[in-house]
Amino acid sequence: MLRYLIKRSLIAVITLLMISITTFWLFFAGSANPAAQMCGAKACDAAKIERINKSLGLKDPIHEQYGRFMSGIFTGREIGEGADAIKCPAPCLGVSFRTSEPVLDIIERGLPVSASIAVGSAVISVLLGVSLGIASALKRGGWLDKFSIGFALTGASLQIFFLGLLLQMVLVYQLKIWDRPRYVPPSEDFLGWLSGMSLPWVTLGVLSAATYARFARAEMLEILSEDFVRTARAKGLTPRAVNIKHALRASLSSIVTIFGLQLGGLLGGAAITETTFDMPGIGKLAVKAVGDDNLPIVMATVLLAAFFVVLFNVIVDAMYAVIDPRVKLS
Amino acid sequence: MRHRVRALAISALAISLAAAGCSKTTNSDNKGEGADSNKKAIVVDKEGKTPVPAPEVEGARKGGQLLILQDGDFEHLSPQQIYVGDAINYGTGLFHRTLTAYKEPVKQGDAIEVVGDLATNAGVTTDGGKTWKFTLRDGIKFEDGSPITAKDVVFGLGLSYGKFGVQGPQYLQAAADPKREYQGPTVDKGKPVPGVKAEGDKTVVITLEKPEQAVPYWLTYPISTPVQESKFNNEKYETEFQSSGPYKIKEYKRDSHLILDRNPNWDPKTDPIRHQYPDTVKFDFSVNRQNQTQRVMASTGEDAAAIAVSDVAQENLATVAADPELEKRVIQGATPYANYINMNYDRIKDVDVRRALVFMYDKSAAIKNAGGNKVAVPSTTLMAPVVPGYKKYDAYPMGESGDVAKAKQLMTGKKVEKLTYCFVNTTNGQKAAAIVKASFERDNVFQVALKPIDRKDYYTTIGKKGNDCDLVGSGWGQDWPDGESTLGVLFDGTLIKDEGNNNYSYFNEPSINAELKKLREMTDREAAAKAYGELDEKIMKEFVPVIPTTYTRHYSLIGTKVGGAFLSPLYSQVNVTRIFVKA
Repeated sequence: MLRYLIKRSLIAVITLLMISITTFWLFFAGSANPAAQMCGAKACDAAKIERINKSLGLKDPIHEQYGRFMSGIFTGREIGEGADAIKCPAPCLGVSFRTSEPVLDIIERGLPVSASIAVGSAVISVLLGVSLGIASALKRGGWLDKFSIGFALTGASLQIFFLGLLLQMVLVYQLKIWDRPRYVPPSEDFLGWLSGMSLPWVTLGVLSAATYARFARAEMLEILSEDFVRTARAKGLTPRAVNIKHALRASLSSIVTIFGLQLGGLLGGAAITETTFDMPGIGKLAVKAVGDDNLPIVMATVLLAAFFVVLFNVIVDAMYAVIDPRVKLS
Repeated sequence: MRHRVRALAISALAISLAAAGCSKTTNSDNKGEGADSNKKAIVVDKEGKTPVPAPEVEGARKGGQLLILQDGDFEHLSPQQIYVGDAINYGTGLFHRTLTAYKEPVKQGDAIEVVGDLATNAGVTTDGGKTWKFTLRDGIKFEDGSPITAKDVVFGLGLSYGKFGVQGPQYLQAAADPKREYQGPTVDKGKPVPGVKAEGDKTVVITLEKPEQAVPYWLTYPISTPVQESKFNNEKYETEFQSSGPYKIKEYKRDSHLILDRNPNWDPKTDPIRHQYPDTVKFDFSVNRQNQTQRVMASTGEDAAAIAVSDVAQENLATVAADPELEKRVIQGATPYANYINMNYDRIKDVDVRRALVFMYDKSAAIKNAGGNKVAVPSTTLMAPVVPGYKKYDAYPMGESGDVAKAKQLMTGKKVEKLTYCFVNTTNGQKAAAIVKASFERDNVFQVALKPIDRKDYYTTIGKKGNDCDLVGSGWGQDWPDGESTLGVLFDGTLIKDEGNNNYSYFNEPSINAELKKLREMTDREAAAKAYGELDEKIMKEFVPVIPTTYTRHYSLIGTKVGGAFLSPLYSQVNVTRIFVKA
């Protein structure tokens, strides 16, 4: 088990390294021109571009810039030259091209927002989706099953930027029966946090619940037809014990997989959800940084998202062994 | 001045209503936006006659919270780094005072006044513009109570030369230090700031090698906001700046909100422009354009005293325009932004071909594409309507979708090679290109080849002399209210260099160059303004280097309880110097 985890972690680190190289390279290979962006929609005179490029450290070869960026994460670094240099202690993710603020500070502000969205919506989607899926598997062909299939289809075809805007327009601005989506730190105003997060949670939760419902139903149906379930029934166990203890547990592994990947993806920023609901999380930050050619923030958000996805992949793999005794990690 | 880049909007509901603007596009929208020919085009208060304190606003009351809904935080509030229009508007209106300032007209079309702000007047020159002297008012203080001295102004100006001003405007610095050797007071400690010095506590003197009439205008940028050396803490000053205006920071949480409260050390008796009516001003930085519109339309709770920074969202334009109650709360009018299609003067040499192209362009399609006649109106001039001296004329009268017959007539017996239209390869650029191609190829009068250019290289490519673009789209907003900042930048052939040009038509006519030189050097800017208006018409009538396409308009909402709001013609934002919250 330990050896497996160490091996997986090493692979994870290499993956992150590759992602960082690719992102850095893509940024310069693509159509980014940070200095010109800062000049706005006018041809900037070369001298000003030069000055901005110098102040951003963009004049050096790409590999040097990359090296600086990466070593800053581990050892910290000084950004700029001479008396005006900014001290950026490890883990240094650079400073924003636009505002000169340390990227780590910016990320720290966005992370609680993204985490709130991720955890809240994941809980709703799992509870709702898994119960719906199981219930419909147990009552196969019944009205609940039909509803569940319909729900899963609708949920899978709707998009957050459609449903989210629609719900906001109708519930928040027209009927005025739902609180406006906003983020307040739970430590400052817990009820305000709950109420401000509720619409994004419900929207994202319900939409992702559809996936869970589909998987849970399919998996349950398959397991229910297996021999060990029949044996359990034959032994005279109550239907409850058969369904929950035997069948559900066996079908959990696929649900855990989706859950882990979903949570990992969301923690790194739900770009569309955050943009739709105007939540200042990592996702919205990333979208803006891409538009602004703000390389340090692009790097940081991409690496963060990748980190969470990789991390949860490892966790999910490790969880298999716990959930399913047939799985051995090696 | 930089135009704030509109944030990427994900809007599924925008599709159907976007076409709303197609119903009616008339010139009537333009009324009141052009300057009346009998009025002064611009007022420069050299004698310091502007009254202090600023006269009370009728019906204003003290108290309440003004809420400003904005999509994203300001990039910079450290004064010398500010260059984006909304940061200048809110920054100078609320907390950053400057040596000189604009007193913007409440009634659209009235003259903009250049007045002394921290200084007693708009600046005095006795040698034709080489030396400018500014005397500070008595009783001006920072928020901590310490008096503002000439030394603080010079320190602030010094910052604008170095790293802590690199993103701000660079006009004064380029004129005072052409080689740009000085790196600001944090690096070149103790060295004198080029061209800027304090004489005693009260006088700031600017000395340039060549006369520059624009100095009083350049100093309205917050490059001239005073900064105390002892309080300047590099990047941290962005969120910990010392206010010199009526409001100061109470709480600033980046990307979330900024709350301002009254600055007790601001004395209205020293300020010819600003007031201090609301108790607090709160910026909420996490409201995108759609939500700004929705919230201010509803105008309930604290939103009743809210200002939307962005224009009305496109999907709501039709609703707002059709509802008289809502339209009363719209702040709208002309902005400094005018759009053109540049015709390369070296490549399209026949003036009648250029005239024919003017007749071919379909302005109504461009307006529809921009979002309708609330946000764009057809243009006929080079200078935008807010430029002092703007003269409303139409050298080539035609319908809004052009006049193909006239164009054909001009093209009789002429043969023109396929024209290349260069555009930035973005969604908007592609839409604009489609309009250009469809317009010019009507009845096969012209053939157009479209040449997309990567965003990264766009301005480098079209700014390079001798490029192979026949036609290029561009927009322009003046950097200071003077014809020089439009005509003098875009149409002076003597400024053409190998790279980095703004004169995308590469227009170069000796007679116009000479006239521009004469106007640039005129010390009386009020008189110069009218001459720029005439010159604008002359260029379009005789030479036609560009096709004027549209003027961009401002169209934003304020809540039911906001009083004293009016459109800033310079920054295309709600001017907040007279703002109050109704009971």
